Amino acid sequence: MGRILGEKEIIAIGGGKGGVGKSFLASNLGILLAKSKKSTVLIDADLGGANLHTCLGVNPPDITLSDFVNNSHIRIEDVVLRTSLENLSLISGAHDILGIANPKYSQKLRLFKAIESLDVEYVILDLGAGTNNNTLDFFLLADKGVLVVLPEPTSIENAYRFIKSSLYRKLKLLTNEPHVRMVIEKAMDRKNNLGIRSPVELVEHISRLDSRVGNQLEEAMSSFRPRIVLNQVRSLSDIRMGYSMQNACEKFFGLRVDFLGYLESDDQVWQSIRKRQPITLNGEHGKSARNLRTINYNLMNNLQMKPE
Amino acid sequence: MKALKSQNYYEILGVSRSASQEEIRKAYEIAKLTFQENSLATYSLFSDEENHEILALISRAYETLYNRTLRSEYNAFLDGPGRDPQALGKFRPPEGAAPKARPQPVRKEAEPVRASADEKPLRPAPAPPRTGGSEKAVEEYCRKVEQYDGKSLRKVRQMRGLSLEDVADRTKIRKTYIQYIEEENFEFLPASVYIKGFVTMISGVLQLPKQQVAEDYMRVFRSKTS
Ligand SMILES: Nc1ncnc2c1ncn2[C@@H]1O[C@H](COP(=O)(O)OP(=O)(O)O)[C@@H](O)[C@H]1O
Ligand SMILES: [Mg+2]
Repeated sequence: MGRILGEKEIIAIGGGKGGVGKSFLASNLGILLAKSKKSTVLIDADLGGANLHTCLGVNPPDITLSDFVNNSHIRIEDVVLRTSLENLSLISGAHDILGIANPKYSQKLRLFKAIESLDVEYVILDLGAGTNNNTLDFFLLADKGVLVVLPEPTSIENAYRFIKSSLYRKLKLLTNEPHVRMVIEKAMDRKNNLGIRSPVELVEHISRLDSRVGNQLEEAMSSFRPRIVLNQVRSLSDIRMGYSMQNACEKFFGLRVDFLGYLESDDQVWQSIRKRQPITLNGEHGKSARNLRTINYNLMNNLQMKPE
Repeated sequence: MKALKSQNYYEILGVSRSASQEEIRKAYEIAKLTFQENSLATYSLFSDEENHEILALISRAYETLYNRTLRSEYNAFLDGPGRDPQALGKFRPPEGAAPKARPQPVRKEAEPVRASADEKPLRPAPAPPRTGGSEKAVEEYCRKVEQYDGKSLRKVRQMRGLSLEDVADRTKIRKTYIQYIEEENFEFLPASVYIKGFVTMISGVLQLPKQQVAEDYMRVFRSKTS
């Protein structure tokens, strides 16, 4: 393979809410990439609710991410499992929750380094629900972060919260200046006494305090580009929600956000899960398969949907 | 991505400089849905009032870019020498410069805003520039003008039977700015780069030779401010 070692793309699939289809999208993207001959590893980064192996029809594995995290003699390669698909491997999530749900900082660093050193073309991180720091850090580790959203209020709110939390964390980790960090922390609370309501206002505020840090933050914002996938859409107006969210995020967060595409509910999926077979979307030519290919295409080529 | 208030009309609509009419119309349709009242996409981010303000800004961007003439004028404005293309949210007043624009009521009906203010005005139609007698008078007046300045802009406007509001309506420049331009009251106007654009747009409405007027006026501006 004419690939430079280490040249790979890390993709994180998050979205704040549980049950929206993060693992579903992660595994289907993994399958699609593997089928197009790209070596891909799926990592179940849901440190607490790991179930990616189920989506892939793999038995609960003996060796998981928690073994790597808890034992410095175990290499990352040792926890990589093969799947029934060529080119697709899996690092299963922790099943003993206590062991890993709160890794130490040094453990986390080692894990991130190991992920970056994996000899594959694509790494797909399947994130857990919520916005705890571990989840956010996985999201920020990725080259591209995707949010799975359902066209309904709670899921949309969760996605916005996720974008905001991860952005603020990214900004906070960028600087050691205690007063800047304090401002960012305060700004997280919407009713802060500084009158900062959005990230754009936050950066403006900090630029006034310290223009050098302000520039740094601005640059970080322009390189932060979350992607959105709508799952379980039922109508044209559901699909429009993708463009609207994109629009609203751009105006509120001052971020570029790409609407990658949408998925409908695919009944056949349920059947394959019940039979513990790997999920495959309704044949190669079905609507879902086509939608997934669109999502993948936009993701890989840094594109977005265009309104019809 | 820049703060909304420093985005240009293309950025506000989220389209590229080369966007087709159709793309502009679609972007506007989506923006209307996004920022309408009780919108699922925005209720947790923006207040109703903010939604109204954003929508008003978006409508203004749409009205300018969907109209071929206004769009090419706007492009010229963006491309002008030494102009900061970022700053061009600028037909909008700088924050805090004047009382905040009252949020405009949202048009609920799906009708797209028409291409030109003449076809479907937002407010009662300003009298169209008269031709015939007044046209002749304007021509005659202009022949005598050696250098266009604030006074001559006001004179022509009055000869055309247009109020400050009429011109503000068509150019989407704030009424007070137009007034300051006529009064050559530069203290309260935004940076000079915008003045030239404003004058260009005003002379368009007054059917005057835009480039010449703008050049003349900027000469006046420089002699008075330097
Ligand atoms: N587009 C879809 N069509 C059919 N089933 C889906 C779809 N998206 C998600 N599901 C199913 O919904 C359930 C929850 O999805 P999952 O991916 O586990 O959510 P998450 O990882 O976000 O918690 C799973 O059983 C999954 O197979
Ligand atoms: Mg999951």
